[in-house]
Amino acid sequence: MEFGFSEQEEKFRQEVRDFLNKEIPPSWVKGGMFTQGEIENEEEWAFWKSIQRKLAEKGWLGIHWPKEYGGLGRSYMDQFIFMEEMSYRGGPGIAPANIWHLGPTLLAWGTEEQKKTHLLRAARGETLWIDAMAEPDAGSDGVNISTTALQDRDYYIINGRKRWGCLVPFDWFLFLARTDPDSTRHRGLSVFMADVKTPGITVKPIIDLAGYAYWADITLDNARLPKENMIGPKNEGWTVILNTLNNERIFVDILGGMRRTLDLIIRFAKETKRNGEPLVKNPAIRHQLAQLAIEAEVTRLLYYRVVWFREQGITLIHETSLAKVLGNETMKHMVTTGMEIMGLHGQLKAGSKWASFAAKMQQAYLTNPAWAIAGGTTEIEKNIIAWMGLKMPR
Amino acid sequence: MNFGFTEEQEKLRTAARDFLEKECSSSLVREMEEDEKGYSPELWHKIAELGWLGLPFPQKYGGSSKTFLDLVILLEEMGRVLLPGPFVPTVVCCGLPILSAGTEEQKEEFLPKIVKGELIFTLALTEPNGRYDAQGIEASATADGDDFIINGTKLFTPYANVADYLLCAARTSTRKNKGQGITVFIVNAHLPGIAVTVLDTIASDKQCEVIFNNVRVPKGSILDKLDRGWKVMESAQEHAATAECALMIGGAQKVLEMTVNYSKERIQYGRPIGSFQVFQHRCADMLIEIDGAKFATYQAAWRLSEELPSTMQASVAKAWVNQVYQRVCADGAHLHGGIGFSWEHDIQLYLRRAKAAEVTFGDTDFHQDIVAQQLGI
Repeated sequence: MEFGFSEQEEKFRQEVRDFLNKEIPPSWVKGGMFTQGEIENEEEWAFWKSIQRKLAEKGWLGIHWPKEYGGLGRSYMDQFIFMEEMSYRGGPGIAPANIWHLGPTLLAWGTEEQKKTHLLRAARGETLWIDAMAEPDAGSDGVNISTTALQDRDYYIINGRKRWGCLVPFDWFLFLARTDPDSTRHRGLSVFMADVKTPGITVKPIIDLAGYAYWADITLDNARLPKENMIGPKNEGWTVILNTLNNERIFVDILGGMRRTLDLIIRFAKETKRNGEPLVKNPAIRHQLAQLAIEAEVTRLLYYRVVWFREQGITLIHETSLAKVLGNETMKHMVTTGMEIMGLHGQLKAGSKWASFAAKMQQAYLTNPAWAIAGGTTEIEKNIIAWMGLKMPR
Repeated sequence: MNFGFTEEQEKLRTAARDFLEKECSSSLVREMEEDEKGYSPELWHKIAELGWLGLPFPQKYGGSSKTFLDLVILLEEMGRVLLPGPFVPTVVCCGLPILSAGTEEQKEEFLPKIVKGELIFTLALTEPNGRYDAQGIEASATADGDDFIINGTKLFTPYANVADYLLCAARTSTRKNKGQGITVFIVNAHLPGIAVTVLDTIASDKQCEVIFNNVRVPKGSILDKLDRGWKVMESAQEHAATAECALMIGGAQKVLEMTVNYSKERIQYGRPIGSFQVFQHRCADMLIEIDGAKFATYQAAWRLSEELPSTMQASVAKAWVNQVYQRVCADGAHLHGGIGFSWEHDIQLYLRRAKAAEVTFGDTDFHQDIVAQQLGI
């Protein structure tokens, strides 16, 4: 039982921090978990891409991937440390799905050809991926897939609709389609990857309640994909993707965002006066801030436990779900408290002459609810904890 | 980062669990609530023979030189069965301060006897004002030749009714900074002028009022330095709060187990009540909180073992575990339905002790204050 990092890990964390301190101006960071979801104009997008290039040069786009696929072959812990620090800075240049979906899926199930093509390109910053798991009728019930894939010699013809993909302007996406027309539920599904430029594929943004085009609606209308785009065995797609889904639930990026949000609230409470006194002098506020720090620290430990299990090769059963639920509840508590403390000023959007740096709190508040749904709703996670963790009867 | 225990630590836990399952039934716990002493000297003797009282002490005093984290493993198992007795007061609240701050003479006089189970110690710290900070110390110790005369009242002192010695924090000089001017004395509990009364408390756990009326102690009984005793108390409190957390996480896990097991047996509407989603989700909530409580506790214990700064982590742990044990006991009792609020069912034993543990060595408010200080606010 040990709760410190090795000298090498501390050094790496500092290296990442130094890079970020040099390259990312504080003004870049908005409020939400992933700043790339809050990109508002071409200039911001150009900056995002410039950071991606720099990260690619350092080999930091695939830290724990094997070297032959463009990664650095570093530990899972190093990957986690990197993502934690990146997300503290709003994570420009990183498409989380590259790390948490593309990587794990191809590394576990991809052919050599697939790995060499796609992982290398992702590591060089040439492609951005998302996963498109959900459909209009397949949310928590993820196997209720109606997208079809009919084989036509060397191609599959895909028809269907995907919803709630994370809209970074993306190049490729992973999805499930039913390759066995007589199958139902989790049987007869296959995993595919598709280039978004494939004829028949159209993407429409879904605007979230913060006003950002953060999510995507994807329509596949007789889109023809080469059969090489299938990952893993035909009709075994659910087994293939379960591995990926278990990774997604980790959502490690939440830790950086959590720390950033707490720092923002504390800074606001230190710098803002009410009745001549800084807000932090108010015991009610002071204790709320302490409680948030306590919850964030406990959350941190539970996330790191998941990382350690992965590093040790210990099978994760319910531990990821457990960390995610606490992470989501802690973030909810944090953004709610942050808005409360800001009172009337919490309403101001960035750009108003009356808005301060604290306008980011509102962005955090409005973009946060999605994360208790994406990657596994709280209710599904609690089912998993009860069934798999506590072995309760179904 | 490492979230696993060593093989040796797992063995310690298994051995402790097996022993305590056999030796400390809930009937014993109930019996001790009514018992005058509040603990079983027979069981205390067995525990001494197992080497548990000496676990964190160096071999030269008869101990086994294990870490504070190792001790926390033992404490977790004790908390699981609600072991009645002055283990934490003796070993953690008094033994460890004597080890870290005592003279060689004091260590040789007291530690081997503690290890052998021959001496029971307790910490007379809190007073009627109910505070754990330096300002709460109003008891005084006035110099008189080579002695000091102690006057004051201590309240909520655990097992003072059976203690052989008390560590007593008293004010030896008035300073502007209330943290200075406090001295810790090692006091023979049978000295004239000491009057102990057992309080009737929610957990029936032998907390006592201890009145010091012109109690004369030699200056050789000072632990560490004159006027500088608060440092010793701060460290003792961090260790004690973490120890309390260990007891609590043991109890909380047991409550969840009881609840889940009950949910599988209890049939209503033709099915086990544990198959209903709300029931499952409430148990999932409990597991989430308990897992967090465990690692927050282990982190504090690890930092104390490594002698790293631990004030923040100990307070994070105590604040969180305070909240968790309370909720787990309340929810666990509720999920048992009617029997959950009966005297007969064991869950009430945990619920009452959760309340006691919550306020011992700092309630949530107290620790949130420390966390805020550590955050620089």
